[in-house]
Amino acid sequence: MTRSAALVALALISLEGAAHAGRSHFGWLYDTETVPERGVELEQWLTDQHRQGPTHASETGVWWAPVIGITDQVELALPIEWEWTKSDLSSPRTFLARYGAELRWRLVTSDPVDAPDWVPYVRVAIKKPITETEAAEVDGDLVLSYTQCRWHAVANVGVYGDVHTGDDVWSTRSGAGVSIEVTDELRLGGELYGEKSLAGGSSDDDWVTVGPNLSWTHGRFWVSASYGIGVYNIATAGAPRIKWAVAF
Amino acid sequence: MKLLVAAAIVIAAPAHAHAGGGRVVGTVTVTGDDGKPIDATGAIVYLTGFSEPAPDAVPTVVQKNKHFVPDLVAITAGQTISFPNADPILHNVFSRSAARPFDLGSYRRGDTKEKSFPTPGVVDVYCNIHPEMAATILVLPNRKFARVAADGTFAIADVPVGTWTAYAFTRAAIKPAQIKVTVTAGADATIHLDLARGVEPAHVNKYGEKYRDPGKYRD
Repeated sequence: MTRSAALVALALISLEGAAHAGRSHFGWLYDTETVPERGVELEQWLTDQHRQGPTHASETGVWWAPVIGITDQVELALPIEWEWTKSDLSSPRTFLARYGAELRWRLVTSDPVDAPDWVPYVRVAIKKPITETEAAEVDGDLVLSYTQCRWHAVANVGVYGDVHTGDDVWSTRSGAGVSIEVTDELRLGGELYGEKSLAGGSSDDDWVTVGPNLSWTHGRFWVSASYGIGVYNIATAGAPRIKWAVAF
Repeated sequence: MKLLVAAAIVIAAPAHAHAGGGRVVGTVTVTGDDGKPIDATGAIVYLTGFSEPAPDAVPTVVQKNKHFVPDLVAITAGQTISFPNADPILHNVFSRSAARPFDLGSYRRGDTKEKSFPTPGVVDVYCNIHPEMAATILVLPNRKFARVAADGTFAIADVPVGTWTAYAFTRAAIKPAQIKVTVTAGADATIHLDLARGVEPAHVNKYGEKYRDPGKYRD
């Protein structure tokens, strides 16, 4: 018997993998990982925007939700949101803004070995604004991620509707970003994100931002953040968003 | 689990499996951490140095009475293992092994999940809820392996002609025992392997943390 190539002996010593960086690697963008079946994460976002439009609207938002793994590819978030707002037309106020439900569906396996490089993902949400009794808010996004070695990229396209009786406001949002693994737990990258009115709204509400991002994971904790630098209709103070979560 | 187990798995270019191979037969003895002989039943002997395609069979590792049954499995790279839960409680099967990390999530009695193992390596499997549950999967490059019988003997048939490395391994082994073996057509190659077993090492949960008080928050 002949062997066609030299043998390569690997001493496999039951090596353990390090924790993988984050379920999301981006601030403003959605990513494509999901919580394992029956897993639960408590997820928070903190968002800051200061518009340059005629009313100089500022908004700081807190988003909090338990995220529950329905299957390994479908998760349910039950968010509650608080906001602080201020503009030239209104006094500063802090209030409970809305609550709702959000379904996120990863369309391919979540297994780290079997998953394809390209991962499609869909999210849909319906929310009830607290301050508007006759209104509902609906939004949804299509997300596509691509992973190759240390590189992970996503593209998002979404739509958002503030549905009143005969007074609907629709807008679209989109963005793209890249994240590069620096260490097992840390990733760095950048992202572009923007929102544009479609119907019923004002172009004063349109804005675009671009900026760096980072994500870090340790054990059951992950955090991701982006600092959006104003490109269009966003003050130079920037538009940061930070997300973090603890898994149980 | 920080096993210092040097499971040397040889990834070879596919050797030509000659018709009319031979057998590798022999015995395995296992000593415990006190140096005294213990039952070798269930230890696995495998050969490396050549590759073979995986069979279609799907072996099963059952979660039963808060244990994996069996707790040591050998498969061929490319095979899939089924992990049914036969306990009346939730289990969360996972592995942090670099050879094949996975997390099956939590699932209940009667549910089954499967996982493929495409590349050779040693995969330590645990339950994220019950720290006493531990199993090892040997993902081997070929189908030439055998389980050691109660009398300590084993036999591996249809081994291609050539010189290969034979290993014996059991859970919590300090390291696999190994020996070179030359197989000739139609003949038995007889070997003996001595294996030393240590204590079951501690391991962490799927987040890399120590398990919390094992008497609380269980079942």
